[in-house]
Amino acid sequence: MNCTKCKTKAVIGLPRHNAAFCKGCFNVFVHDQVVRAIKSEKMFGKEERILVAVSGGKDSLALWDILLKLGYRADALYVDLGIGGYSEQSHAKVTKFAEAAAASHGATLHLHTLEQEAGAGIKELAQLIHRPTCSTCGTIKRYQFNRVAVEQDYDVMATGHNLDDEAARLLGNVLHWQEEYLDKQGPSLPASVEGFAKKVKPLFRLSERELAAYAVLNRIDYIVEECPMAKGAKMLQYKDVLNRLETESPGTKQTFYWGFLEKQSKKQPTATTMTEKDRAVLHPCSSCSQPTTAEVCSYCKMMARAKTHATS
Amino acid sequence: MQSCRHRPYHPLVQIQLSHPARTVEVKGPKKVKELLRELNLPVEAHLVIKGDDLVTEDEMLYDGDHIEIRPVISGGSPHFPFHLSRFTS
Repeated sequence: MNCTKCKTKAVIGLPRHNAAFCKGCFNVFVHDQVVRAIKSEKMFGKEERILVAVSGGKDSLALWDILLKLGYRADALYVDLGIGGYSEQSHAKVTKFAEAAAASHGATLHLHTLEQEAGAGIKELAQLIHRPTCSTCGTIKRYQFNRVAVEQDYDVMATGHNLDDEAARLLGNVLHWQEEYLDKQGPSLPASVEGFAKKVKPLFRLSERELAAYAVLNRIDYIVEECPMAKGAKMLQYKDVLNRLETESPGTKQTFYWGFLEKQSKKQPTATTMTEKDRAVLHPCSSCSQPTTAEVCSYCKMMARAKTHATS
Repeated sequence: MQSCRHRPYHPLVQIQLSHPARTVEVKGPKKVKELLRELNLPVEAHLVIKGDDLVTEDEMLYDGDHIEIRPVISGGSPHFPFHLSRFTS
């Protein structure tokens, strides 16, 4: 198999693009897809400060790497969830990347440690408050990334969600007819109210396989094992189904997700509607001032319950 | 004269898999695409790595090659046929 562009030996075939690339041309392809995503969704400019949510996985580290190589001002935040050896390993990968690659671009790595704040790791915390681990984790990460982005004046928060993540999430929402979640499935969410950072997903044009290949080819040392708490998660089943369809019919995932985005964009001016909706229901949490629909936000309620359990 | 017990060792293709971590062997030569199909591993969900390089689906693997088949979806391949955890074709 030869590179579609330069005709040298290819290292990866991309059936959905009817193409194959050598390492150099593949890197150009990946960077080009990210640039197209940033520009088409008006995510951010070269002067804006970006906070990348990193986990030690391939997507978030690849995103940080790509943004820095493209000349963007990107720092990162890692949230240590206290999942024993898994967190130690992922923390080490993030630190290694920050010291080896990001530091040379003048980028900073921020760190938040859950155990220092809550006195317990994610598993113990979820047990204490009787909530599923993954939803507890989601609440903590969303809260902390937004808090750091707002407190440290970042213009935008970027996450490593890829085409597979978005297509699987869309499939889950459609299967359960959760139409109320569809509005927020776009790759760019505005800072709709005071206290909310703008959130973007610059990797939405790239598949999970393409990002894993980018990480391997560029020697990005990432954590291959997924979080032990996520085993058996529905999202993994949706991804598996979509990948089997993709292998038989290349382009299935992008047709599904990009087609959805196209229909959404024709349907209504989403950003305005979303901003209006958010402004109508959100107000500052009486405890921490982050936007919430309740008197006290779910994060503060969760921490209060954890502290009550810890002292009782 | 060499006895049967000391006949020369003929290595197979050594394959390192994840989720769970294990090694399987297959008889070469074998195309990557064919190997993935036999292991019931969708191309779209896996990378094949030899040394520091990626291997495309049309490449041939030979006895003595060491490769890693790495799932791109971290967390595992729910439909991996565990009854084939070690097979030789």
